[in-house]
Amino acid sequence: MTRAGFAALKLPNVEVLNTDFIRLRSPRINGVTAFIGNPPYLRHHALSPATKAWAQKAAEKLGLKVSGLAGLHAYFFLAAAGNGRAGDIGCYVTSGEWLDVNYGAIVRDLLLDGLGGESIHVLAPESLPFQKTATTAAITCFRVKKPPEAIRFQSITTVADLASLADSGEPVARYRLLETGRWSTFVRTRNAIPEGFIELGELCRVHRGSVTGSNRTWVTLPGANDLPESVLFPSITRARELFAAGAELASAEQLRLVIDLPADLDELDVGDRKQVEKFIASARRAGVRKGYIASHRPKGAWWAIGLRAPAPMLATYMARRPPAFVRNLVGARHINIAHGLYPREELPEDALTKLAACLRTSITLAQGRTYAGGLTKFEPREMERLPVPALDSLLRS
Amino acid sequence: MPSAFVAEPGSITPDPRESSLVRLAIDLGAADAGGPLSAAEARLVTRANRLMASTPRTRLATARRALRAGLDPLGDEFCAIRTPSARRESGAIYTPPALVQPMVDWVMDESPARVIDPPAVDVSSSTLPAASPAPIWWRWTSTRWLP
Repeated sequence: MTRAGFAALKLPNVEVLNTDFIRLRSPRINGVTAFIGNPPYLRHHALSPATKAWAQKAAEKLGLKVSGLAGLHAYFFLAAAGNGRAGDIGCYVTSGEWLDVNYGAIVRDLLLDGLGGESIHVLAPESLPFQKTATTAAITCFRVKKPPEAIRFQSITTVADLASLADSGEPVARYRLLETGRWSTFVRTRNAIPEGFIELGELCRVHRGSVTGSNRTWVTLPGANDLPESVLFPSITRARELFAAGAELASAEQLRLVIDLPADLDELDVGDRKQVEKFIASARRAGVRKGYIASHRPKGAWWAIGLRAPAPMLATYMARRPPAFVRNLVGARHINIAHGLYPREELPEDALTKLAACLRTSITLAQGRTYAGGLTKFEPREMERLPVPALDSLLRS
Repeated sequence: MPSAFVAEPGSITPDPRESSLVRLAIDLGAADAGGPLSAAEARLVTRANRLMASTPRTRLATARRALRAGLDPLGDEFCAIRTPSARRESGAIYTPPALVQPMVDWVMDESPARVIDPPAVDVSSSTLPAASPAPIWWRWTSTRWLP
């Protein structure tokens, strides 16, 4: 089809190569070579061992490391760095996930080093940059062999706003980019924290809920087994429980129970211990001990989930709508389908209620990270960066 | 392409619509543009010439007109044939012109002697540089449906 287009337009000086770009060595020429394109979006699962081995070698040659989880688009940046010569330029449009994830480190490292990042223009998912696909896209401009003093970041809300790439965006100094592995914050915090507001993280720590390793084993209904009450904890085990709760979780009646056994079974009295050991034996027979999470629990206590203390506020963290922020009035625990918000210092009840109300009404999906399909996620550190009223404002009656 | 597929008169790929698209591309001059064909491309052209009738004149003229007007009729037809989920399997996400134009503008402002564009299937006159002196433009194709 490419050739047909060239033929119809009678374009001279074009060559189509039906081959593997990442392995191709382009011959030297006089003058600048420009790399431009939309590298295929293929996750690491789809890449062959030989392709991954190529990436390892290519990164090593540049004194860098590449994660085995990196997608094909990262390899295209590597190929440009390997193929390019000083003064060559490039402009790729890709999904924006490499800005933040661990396996995107190779792209970040390249842009701060030999690939010479110049600017990154991030299109919000609601701009639908790729035909009906709600995902963050990034157009990255680079200049080979020129480690930058700063890289410009631009946030784009609609595709129509995308004009010239040459001068747009705000520069972020190299030393700040080196300090962090999450570059999308430099896009989002172009909208600075307003006067009178602070980051949520200054008031609260945000912690992901506990991972059970096998919800089928460790999440149960009231009355479903003989375990003592002391090891059964009403918990948020589904995000919809928080969405349904509204402003506050006022009853634990509808909640399922998480079985949280002590690591040291000597803590239990004789009768309770007998029941617990029976349960542990049945879980062992079902192979629960061999699961990844269970087998990595400390001191061999594979049965001890270790639920966190109840959080005064709970939040959903992954949905197609902004997170729910819910006051936890019943001391429910939570597993990893929710985050718990724990004030750094004790806060009065009405301040917590005001804080939750503010978070419910002001937080938008744009402040999270959106994946293909439109699911938006707020990791704990990202949630801690959300703007909230300053403490004195919350304490005012 | 599944290795068990056997080309028959009128169809050189499992999907007759794709066969028709291949025929159209060849009749637009694909075999003579963009440098030497790869072995896989040459085999496809041979099969098409042997087994398929030429593209009807009106379809050919319409496609040529659309390409010269800056549209992407072959890309549009390809996207209609291959569902988004099928295209996602090969990582193919097509770039809308509104994204392409600023990228091309930025690149061409640097007056490159060579442009390398991996991988590409579509081409639109509105995104390409002016005729001469034109840089050498290399495009890597993603042609997973070739045998």
